[in-house]
Amino acid sequence: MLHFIFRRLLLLIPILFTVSVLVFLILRLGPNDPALSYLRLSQIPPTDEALATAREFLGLNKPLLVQYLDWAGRALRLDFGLSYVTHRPVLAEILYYLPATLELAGVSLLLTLLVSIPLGMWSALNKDCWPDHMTRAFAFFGVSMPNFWMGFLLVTVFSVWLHWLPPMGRGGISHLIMPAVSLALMSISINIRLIRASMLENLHTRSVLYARARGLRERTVIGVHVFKNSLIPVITAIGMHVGELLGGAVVVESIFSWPGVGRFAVSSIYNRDYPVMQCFLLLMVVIFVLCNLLVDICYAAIDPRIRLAGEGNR
Amino acid sequence: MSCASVLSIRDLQISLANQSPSNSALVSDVSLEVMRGKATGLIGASGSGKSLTCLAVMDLLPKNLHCSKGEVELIRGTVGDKTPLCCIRGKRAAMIMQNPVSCFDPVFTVGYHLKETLRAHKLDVAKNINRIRSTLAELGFQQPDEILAAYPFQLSGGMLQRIMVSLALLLEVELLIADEPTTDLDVIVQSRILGLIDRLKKEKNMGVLLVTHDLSVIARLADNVLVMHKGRVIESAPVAKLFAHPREEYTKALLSAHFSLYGQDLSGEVHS
Ligand SMILES: Nc1ncnc2c1ncn2[C@@H]1O[C@H](COP(=O)(O)OP(=O)(O)OP(=O)(O)O)[C@@H](O)[C@H]1O
Ligand SMILES: [Mg+2]
Repeated sequence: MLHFIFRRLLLLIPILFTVSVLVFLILRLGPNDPALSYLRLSQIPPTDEALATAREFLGLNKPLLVQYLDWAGRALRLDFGLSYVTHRPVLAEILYYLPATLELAGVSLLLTLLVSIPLGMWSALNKDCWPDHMTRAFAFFGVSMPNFWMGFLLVTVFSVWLHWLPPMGRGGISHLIMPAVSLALMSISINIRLIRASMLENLHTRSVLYARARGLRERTVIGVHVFKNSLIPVITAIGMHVGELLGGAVVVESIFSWPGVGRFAVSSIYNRDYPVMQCFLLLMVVIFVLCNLLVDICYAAIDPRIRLAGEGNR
Repeated sequence: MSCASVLSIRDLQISLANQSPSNSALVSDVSLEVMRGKATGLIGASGSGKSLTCLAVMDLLPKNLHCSKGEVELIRGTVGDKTPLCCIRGKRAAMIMQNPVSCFDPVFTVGYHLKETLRAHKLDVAKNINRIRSTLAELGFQQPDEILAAYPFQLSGGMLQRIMVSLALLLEVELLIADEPTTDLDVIVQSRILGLIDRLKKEKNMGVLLVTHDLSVIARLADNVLVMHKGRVIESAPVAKLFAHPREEYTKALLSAHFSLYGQDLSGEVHS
């Protein structure tokens, strides 16, 4: 098991290298001139002279490779430069906003699991009866509903009409409910379908037949054998959901004025604040990759076929 | 006592659940009896409904099939009645299934399978751990602990088949339904397993319903034989009589095919 984790950690190095190159290139090869953005954000008139000085100062007249190495070298020491807008260290700025986003995404992920697993199982166990129809209708509704639209609806009903929940900002649980629900709805719906499908598949295997023939109670057959086998695809999906939630957070944070890193990133994109964008993208990728590593570890823990594959069969 | 019946099937008909029984019957008019301490053999072509008959006994037919007629009386209780089947399944009637590799849950160890089954039948695992080891040893596993710690996909079909047999032994069942119990075994282990089943049959008074394609297995173990063809029982007789004087064309073809393969007279093998 330790061997497995170590191998996966080694794999992180090439992944992060590739991603850093991509992040750097995509932003640099865009149509905009960072020096121009820098001057605009510093409210300096973009004369030719000023542009030349800014290029010199930002290192933009060096070859692209040198620029990348400079940036990557400093990034390795966790120095992502200064924001063009606030002139403060980018990383400190982002880390200031990050906890709010992690809170929102984490609660949404928890909500996803707590709602989708029981609903998916309930739906599969009552296939073609009313619980199944209802859950499937719900899942269909959830997949088709964009999160920003869901957010607007929730605000209209629960804040404007009923005055039950605060429409914006961060605070106690009541502030979290609506953003988390609109963010999680998509993952919940996808997960329900996934769990339902894998439960139905696992309910009719020969190993379940033999489990019944051995005299196991229905509770054990479903609660232990069908459940554990059905969890395997769900674990893979969680890795995907993390990406979905982080991406969705950018939108949902803007709607609910949630003071998270997503809202900060959106404003930095409007401003073309290059150091912030680069650091944000890299950070999101690191979080995503680490979560997927965690998922792979869970995956190996639950499925011996994966765990033992590296060690060779006896 | 010894001639009491553990399983009796009368006029069993199995058909598709959503169609009329008359034109969708996969098995019809099957009647058979398994006595304590005796083995009833069931032979017949592939697809003739042998496995379905076995599943019907345990009330484990797939959802799209059902028993449309007849009754199954298992250890003095009719299947489908209120008798809690989970008290009979596994504990009093065990099954050795075809394709053992697919019958185990890949995410649990073999040991977990055995222990959970014992627990389901209120047997204390800690007290029985030595019995588990000795039973596995009896079935030819030199290192029982290694087998218990292994995952099903690390073992061969034959090994898993013997694990199934071990469960029947551990729970001291009254009826053993063996659906091709020896297909995946090499001849040495096969003969050992057959010897073991034979011993249990005699010592523990266990009844056996034995499904097989192998006539020499029938000759060695069975007392009565039923021949199935296209979902029906076409012939049923004591084993010696069936081998000596087959009545139906199909049975004769089956026997002569076997003789031409193995070139020996089976009737000599039949135990007295
Ligand atoms: N779930 C099912 N739905 C429809 N037909 C089925 C189903 N299961 C089995 N059958 C059919 O029932 C017939 C009998 O199947 P069964 O498995 O009992 O054969 P068998 O005698 O055990 O054959 P084998 O010797 O190959 O094991 C086959 O023709 C098969 O196609
Ligand atoms: Mg069969």
